[in-house]
Amino acid sequence: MPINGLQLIQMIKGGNNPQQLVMSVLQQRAQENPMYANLLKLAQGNDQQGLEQIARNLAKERGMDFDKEFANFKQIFK
Amino acid sequence: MAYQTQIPPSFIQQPINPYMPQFPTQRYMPVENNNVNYLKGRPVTSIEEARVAQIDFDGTLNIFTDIANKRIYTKQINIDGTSSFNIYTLTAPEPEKPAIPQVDLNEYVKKDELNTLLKQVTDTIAVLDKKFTQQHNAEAGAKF
Repeated sequence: MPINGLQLIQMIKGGNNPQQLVMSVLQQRAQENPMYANLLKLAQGNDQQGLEQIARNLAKERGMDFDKEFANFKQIFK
Repeated sequence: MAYQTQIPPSFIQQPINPYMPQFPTQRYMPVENNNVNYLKGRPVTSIEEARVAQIDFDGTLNIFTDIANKRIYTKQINIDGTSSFNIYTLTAPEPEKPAIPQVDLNEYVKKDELNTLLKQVTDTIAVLDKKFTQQHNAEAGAKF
């Protein structure tokens, strides 16, 4: 069963390694979703710029301000 | 000769034992088929509605029908997170043109060629007529 965003945050807060968690989620979803496969490839290649660009594109697609949302996301872990 | 029908033992009705627990008979249960491909999308009333429609990130094609504007929009998320948006517009089918009968042009000549030939024939007749008249007049003069 795929992990949703809230579960992921709870797991990270619970002391799990965020990188490992995200990679496992990507590997899980990459099998059936070409975009996740692309994300996984970028993550494995440590292409942070490429990853951020995809995140920005997706945020734009959803009508969201990436910088604002990312700032809010980072606040969760403070 | 009499026909003998063998009834399988399973088809022979057993007397119902009132003390035996009765199990419900097996009923048809619809099985969810996950392999069925279906189209995602919904009707919209404008292009703006289709543009801002939120779609799944799984890369599948979403179809938005805008019947009032005679358009169909498709939208899907690309692997780089951008979305592709295409517009299909209804076009009226062209009326069928009547079939033009094929003419074998070898059976015809051009009008200019025909007129030239007619003129040559007419001129030849005129020359012959003139000669005939002269000859006729000459013969008539010789008699008298």
